[in-house]
Amino acid sequence: MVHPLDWLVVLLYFAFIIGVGLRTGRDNRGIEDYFLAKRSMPWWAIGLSVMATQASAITLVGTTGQGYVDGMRFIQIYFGLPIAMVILCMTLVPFFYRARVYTAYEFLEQRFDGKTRSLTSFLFLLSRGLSDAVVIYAPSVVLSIVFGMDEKVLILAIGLGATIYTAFGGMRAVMWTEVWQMLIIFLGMVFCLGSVVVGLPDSLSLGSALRIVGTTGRLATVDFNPDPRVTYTFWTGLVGGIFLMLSYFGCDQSQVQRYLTGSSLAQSRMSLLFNALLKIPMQFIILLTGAMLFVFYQFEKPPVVFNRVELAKLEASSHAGQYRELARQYDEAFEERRQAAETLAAADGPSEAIAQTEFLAADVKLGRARRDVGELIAEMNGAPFNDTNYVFPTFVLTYLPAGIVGLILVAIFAAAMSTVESELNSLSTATIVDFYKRYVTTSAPDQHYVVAGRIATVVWGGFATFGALYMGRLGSAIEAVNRIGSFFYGSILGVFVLAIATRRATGRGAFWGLAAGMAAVYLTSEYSEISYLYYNIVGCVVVVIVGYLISLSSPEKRA
Amino acid sequence: MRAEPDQVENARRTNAHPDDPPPVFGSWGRFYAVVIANTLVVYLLLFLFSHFFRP
Repeated sequence: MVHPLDWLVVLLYFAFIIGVGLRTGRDNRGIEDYFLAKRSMPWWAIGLSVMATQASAITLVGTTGQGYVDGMRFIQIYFGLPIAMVILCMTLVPFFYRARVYTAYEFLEQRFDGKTRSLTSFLFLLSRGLSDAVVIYAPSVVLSIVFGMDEKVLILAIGLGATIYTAFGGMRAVMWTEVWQMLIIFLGMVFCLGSVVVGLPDSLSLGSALRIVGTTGRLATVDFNPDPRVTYTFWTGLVGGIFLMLSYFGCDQSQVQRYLTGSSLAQSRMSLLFNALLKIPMQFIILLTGAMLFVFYQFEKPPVVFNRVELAKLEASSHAGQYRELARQYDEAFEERRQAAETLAAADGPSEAIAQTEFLAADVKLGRARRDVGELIAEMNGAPFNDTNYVFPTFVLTYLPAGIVGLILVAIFAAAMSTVESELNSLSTATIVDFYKRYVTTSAPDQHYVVAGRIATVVWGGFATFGALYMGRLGSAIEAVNRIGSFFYGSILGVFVLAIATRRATGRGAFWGLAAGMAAVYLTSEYSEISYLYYNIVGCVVVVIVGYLISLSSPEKRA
Repeated sequence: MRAEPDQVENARRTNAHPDDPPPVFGSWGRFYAVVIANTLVVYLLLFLFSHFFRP
């Protein structure tokens, strides 16, 4: 259970962050103030805000768990990011900045027509509106199970807490709270890695610890396998990653809106380059924490599975007998692996190869027992079982002192809220600027749109929180819509490529090209086995080719 | 090779408002080159890290 001191840290965090949000957002006098912080933000604040938006709570706990379970190869997914940032700085960012737009999709109307703008903006609202519920729900479930908190209270705290100051303070409140939240996340990450390293046995050097985890292949961060079906490789990460990041940072309002707040084009560019330099090292630290946790659990017995609620259900089920036998095998395997790890840590020269082989055999045995228990839980529930997200929070609660637990809890809350508030703010902006101001009330005083923006934020915040509360029942429907959402990321990128790379493309070409791109991605996902990271390339290329050809044959007036 | 008319037009639009130089490295081209070079170094370091602690 959580110590009162940790609760105090959490309460102080909520009071502080809501206070910062309300204070920094109190001077909104117009639409540019409310949605774009009056285009006055410095690059470092935008850069931290971009990182905070991207780092959700599940990124923090899930990626650490990924490092523990699967190792560090996941880092390759970010290999395309720095190059994508440079491409964006050279291409889309100057266009957005000079067009003086509020949303990325507004630019498409300037270049094409209203229907292309409305369609792309609608697709954004659909995918982000639903993903916001997931962003609130996923960490709430994990924290409720590991820390014994009430899931509904957590959902309300994250969802409503973020909605209050986002609705009141708009973009300025969002960005300044994100600056603090990102600093808290950084601090939390350093504490996480430090806590794991300090928790290792005194006799174990850092080099020996890395050697133990390296033996299992978990420190492999570069894999040159050219197979396009494998996601975590250098080539998929580089090529697919470039398109993924171009799509996300170039066409997703929740990111574009951040760098539109720059006080100059140079500030906007600097914020993206700041990300280009920091993102991979940051992910390295998170994954390394998970990998070092693997070493920690060589000498401290980990639970056979990290989701204690599912384990309790298993113990009370008809599978209890099978579980007890597997748990006995697991205990034996753990003892065997602990001894093998100690031997490996002390091994030198020719004895090292033998020690490595013995250690790997013991690790496989332990992994088999753990996998068998997982399969038993899956059989009991009739659904796949995965406890990756529970690994790190379980460690935090079990081994860290009061106060530090609170700090790491706060980092998880900060990660969740920073993503939620950005999405709420961008959803509100797209709703008001691309639809309300475009079709409903086209000419009203600035203050009218600020009020409308606040109402839209509250509606979206309520929708996301309500969706999260009922996620258990709506889960599969939301998952289906999220999956469809992944079909149009690359396709929307294709529309932007048409917009800036060619003068001949027309609105009609862009619109039907977008439809063709989404269909092509759907067919690719159904009938091929290539990694999902390549879907964005398929979508983008099909949109550009089809859109350009339709534009050439279109009688419509060229843009 | 001659530039396509649309490329010329886009270049004209992009360069219509001269940009502030970056606070470091003198020009944006040089800044981008530094970011790419840094990225290549990161790839290399990660490769060496993988290689050094390989099974």
